[in-house]
Amino acid sequence: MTTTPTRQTPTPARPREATFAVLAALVAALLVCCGLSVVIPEGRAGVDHLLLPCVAFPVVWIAAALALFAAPDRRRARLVVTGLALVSLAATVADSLTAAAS
Amino acid sequence: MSSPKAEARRRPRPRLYRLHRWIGLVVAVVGTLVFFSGVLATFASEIDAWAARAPQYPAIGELEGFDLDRALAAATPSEFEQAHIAQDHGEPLLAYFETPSAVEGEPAHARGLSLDPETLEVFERREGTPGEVQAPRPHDRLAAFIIELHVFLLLPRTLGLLVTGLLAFGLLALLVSGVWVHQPTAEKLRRRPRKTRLRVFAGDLHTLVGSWTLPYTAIIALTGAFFCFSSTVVLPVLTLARYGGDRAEMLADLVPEVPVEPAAGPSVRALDPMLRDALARSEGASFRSLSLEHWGGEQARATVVLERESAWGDERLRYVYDGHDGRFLADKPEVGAVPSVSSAALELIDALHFGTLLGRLTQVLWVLLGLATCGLSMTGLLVYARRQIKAQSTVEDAPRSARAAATLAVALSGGLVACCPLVLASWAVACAAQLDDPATAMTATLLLGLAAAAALGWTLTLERALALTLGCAGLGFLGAPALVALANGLSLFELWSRGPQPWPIAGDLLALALALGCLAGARALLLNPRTLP
Repeated sequence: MTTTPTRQTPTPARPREATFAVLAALVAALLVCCGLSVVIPEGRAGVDHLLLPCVAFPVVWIAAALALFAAPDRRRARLVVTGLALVSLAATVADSLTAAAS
Repeated sequence: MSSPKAEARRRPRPRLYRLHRWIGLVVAVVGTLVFFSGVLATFASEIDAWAARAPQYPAIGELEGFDLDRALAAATPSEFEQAHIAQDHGEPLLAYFETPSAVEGEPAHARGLSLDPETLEVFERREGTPGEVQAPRPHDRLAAFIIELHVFLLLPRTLGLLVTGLLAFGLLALLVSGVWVHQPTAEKLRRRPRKTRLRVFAGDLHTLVGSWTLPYTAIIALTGAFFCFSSTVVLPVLTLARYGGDRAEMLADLVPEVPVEPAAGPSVRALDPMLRDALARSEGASFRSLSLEHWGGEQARATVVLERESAWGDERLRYVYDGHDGRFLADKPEVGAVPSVSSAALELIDALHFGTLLGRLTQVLWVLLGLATCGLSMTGLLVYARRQIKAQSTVEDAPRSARAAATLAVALSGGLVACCPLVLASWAVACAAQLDDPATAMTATLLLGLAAAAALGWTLTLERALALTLGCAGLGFLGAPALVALANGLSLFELWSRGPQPWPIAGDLLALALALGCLAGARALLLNPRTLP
């Protein structure tokens, strides 16, 4: 029996996966921006910590979404994105507690 | 060991191709409206100058012996809390005064005036609530409509910003996935589109134009996403995280008020010395506005805003004065108390998004690149439609989805161009009929125009539908000067003698050129069936 070679069509990514990647990336990007506002110095005008995270937000969001959706090793991508988001969250909470204590 | 199927699912390129296709469909349908209106918005003030044909007024800084206090003497109410006196390029001097109501809960009383800075003649006077007085005049609605379509997609403010922000995010996703999928190389950047079949031609054109416009699209998508998301998403989240949700505290950091020593007694009556001082400090800048806040109160302050050309387009200068003695207090940047990295970044983002980086040169370049980006929607939809037809044997509903995609391609190319004179016509009729708010009529006309173009795309072949929409657009542009005459109650002979030169003549000639271009395109599509491969 002979088999006709067929062109392999890529298995489609489910729309659910794309929605999850975009929403998870949005949460991660917002947390990273909160973390950035803790790390970035306020500057002479006292606004750099507020405005520079706003400038970075679209880049962080798209990078996280693409990493979660289309990285060759998505498990590692999930780990990196989650790790960054958690570190940022910890920095923000620590900063809030320090500010409340002082 | 993972199966070949699982391996295929993990490959980035097919996943990104699928993402590119689906996001592309959404962005093509909704985003093209935003991109096209953005292209027009680059020259919004010039479009207004062309359409409204309002008389030109000299800048107050250039008038010998102009005295602001004398100009406003007859119009200034005896008591007010806030005032805003402004003059834009070639516009009359506008004055706005607001007095809080003595009865709690009632809206403040506002008074607005338009006056000729040369003769000091008051030719328009409005009284009422702040909303009534600040409402734009019907003649000024054309540019405002274009900007509202671009920024808010004619939706309520926050929702509109979120939707246009998501479109900017979609454009970013298209850009990154497009680079991965199409992999632009030096060879592809040089390759002419092959005129073998429509799918191949549209695909080649899509890759070529998409590759050449990559830097522009990246700039517009990133800066657009910043404008939309900073005030609606990121700053509210940062306020929650850093200020415990106290918005006032965040704003006090972001746009701090220059401290004024509290003092009792009336505020200074002479405004002209502050204006003269600001003009002297700014070395050649033009006056834009003078705002008076807490006037008559302990914290009375005045802010003079001036504008001058800089390396990154127009630069705004803000000088703050003490409201009790008119003493200069500070030179205040747009954000923060002193110039910083952030205020420089904001200026750069402004210049990049609005194309004012190198003045008119970058504005024209931005318009051309923006139109090319709009064309990507059409070529993308055509590629999608032809692929669906090709897959007809395997996908049952291919003809219908292919037809829908071709329909959208017609509506968002020829249809959108044809909507320009249609919307202009509804604005002109609304102005001639002296309607208070022509925006509703303009929105309805835009939607009806797009629906009619889509109906043509659904029922006719691609060539015929494009030819018809382009033909309609051509005839519409041909009649554009007559529509402007109708809106302003002018005869055709008076048209070029009114309004700020050279915009009336340049705008009419451009409309004529667009008309001839559209009619020539329509003729070519009808007479030569090989115009599209």
